[in-house]
Amino acid sequence: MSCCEMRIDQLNFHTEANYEGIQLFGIGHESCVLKFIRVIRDLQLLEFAERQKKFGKKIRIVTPFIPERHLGEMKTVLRETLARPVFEDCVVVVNDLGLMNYLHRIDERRQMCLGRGLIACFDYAPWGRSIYKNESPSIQKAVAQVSLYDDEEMALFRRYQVTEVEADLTEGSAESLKELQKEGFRIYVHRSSILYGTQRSCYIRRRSSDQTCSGIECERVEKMEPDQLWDSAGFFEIPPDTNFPTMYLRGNQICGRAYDVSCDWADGIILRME
Amino acid sequence: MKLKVPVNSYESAVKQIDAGADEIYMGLEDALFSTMSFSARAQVTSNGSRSTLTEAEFAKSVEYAHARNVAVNFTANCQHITKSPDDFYRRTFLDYVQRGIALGVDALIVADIGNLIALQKAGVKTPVIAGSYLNCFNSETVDFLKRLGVFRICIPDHVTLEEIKAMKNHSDVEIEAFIGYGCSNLGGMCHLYHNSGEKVHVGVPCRARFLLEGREPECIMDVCPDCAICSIPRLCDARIDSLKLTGREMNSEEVVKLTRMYKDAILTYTEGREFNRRTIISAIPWWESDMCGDTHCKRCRYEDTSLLRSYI
Repeated sequence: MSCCEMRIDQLNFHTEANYEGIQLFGIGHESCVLKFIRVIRDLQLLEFAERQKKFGKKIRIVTPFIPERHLGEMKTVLRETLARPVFEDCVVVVNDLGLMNYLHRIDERRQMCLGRGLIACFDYAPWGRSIYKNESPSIQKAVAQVSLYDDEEMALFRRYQVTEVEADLTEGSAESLKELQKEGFRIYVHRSSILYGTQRSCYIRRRSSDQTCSGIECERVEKMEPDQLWDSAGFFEIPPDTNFPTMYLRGNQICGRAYDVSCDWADGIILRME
Repeated sequence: MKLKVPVNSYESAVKQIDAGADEIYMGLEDALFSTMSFSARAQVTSNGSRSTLTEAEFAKSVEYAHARNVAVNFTANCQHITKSPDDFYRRTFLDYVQRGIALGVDALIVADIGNLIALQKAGVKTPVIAGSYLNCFNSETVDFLKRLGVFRICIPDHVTLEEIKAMKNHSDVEIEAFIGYGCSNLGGMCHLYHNSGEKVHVGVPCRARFLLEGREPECIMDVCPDCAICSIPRLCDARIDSLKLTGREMNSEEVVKLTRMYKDAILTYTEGREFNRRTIISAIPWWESDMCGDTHCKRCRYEDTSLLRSYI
């Protein structure tokens, strides 16, 4: 493994810490466009990125899904950001097909990385194995693979200059990620958390009296221990075999602890300041 | 504007069409799978209900629908087809699609980019609808999907009506919007799969109750937008092409009640009658208390509520 990435997606990021073991910094946010804009325009974080680049570190931009009402502003922010020398030739992590479409249109040579929002896999569900365990061995293998591992999809995303993938790592998805690597994609795996879901209604904003946010409160993680499940008949006790995990709300992301799966083969790992 | 509703049996097809559906959507069983399907639902869900039809049921449903000018959309919207030896997985998917076409479906619902491309390459002429798992949140994505040959895009949950209108006005691609029960998380990015064939009962995970540190137990993840009755006039005025109810995995009798209620709402408005929310939702006695509560439209998809104001 050649690369350790530190994700800069918090305004409280420790810019004075020792990052000797880090070769790459990913700045932005993979799930929230409001947070992305705050982070990417933060002068302190931009200065940090510029310093790190002078030290020989690599920098990349991490972008989220883009609701229509933010599309215009996001295009402006991206054009300004990509014009900065620190982001010259940097890879852009995309979690939105439309944003990928736009970036390719304005710069056909810009390399991109598919983010977790665009990589799906049944094995990412906490009870993933129970979904496919009764299927034939060939179907079990097929559905445990990540969505990009498909000739048609790989060919299309290559046309958009997608050369990298960042993904969560599970026992089931590992083999297909290794196959993607053989197909020429660089693979970065998240080691801090697994992303179970993304919400547009951020719980921080829901809780505030006027449904706004300062961009800081979401950096506190809310731990959610499962209490009771729900179906159309109402709430019920969690069956012992569901493997329903403790989850964490981090702004508009629902996360779990990353699985401890060997990733020495990966091109890089992604860490966050916890 | 069409009302599009889910079907999980011939009996439900008849009832849904008689209740006023303009389009129905349904999937076929496939022997490739034990419990999963090409239809983005388990063939048999964890509560024992079926969500796909046999060929005989499907053929009868298509005949009943077409005799009443109701279009049939075929659910080929499994989220991903991946590489397999001799490409058997994709080939079997394409066979599944051809079975639906042979049975007379009017459109395909597809939710995987690789499948969209494969259908284009295979020369399939049946119109294709981009499923909501493709996460079309903006007009750039509309352009991207249009190039993949879709004629209609199903907009995912948690998109405002203003945004839907912007996407509608951006392109000649038809736009389909949800009006019934929704999801808390962005569909194509959610890995809390349920009704997918799992052999454990997880219910609807995003509606679960959680213990939070220092707080009362709470359904903190639950932001499902479940109702659009009050928005029917604005949806009609926006000329949205299709309004979609969900519920292939639900009790079909309950979904038929929703179809009648929404059809009543649409006709009330389009025929120029007084649009009285309370009268319309009284068709389902518990609807107002569950959906509206103390503050108007607490689970509303498109009205100005604290839910929508909390959107990023």
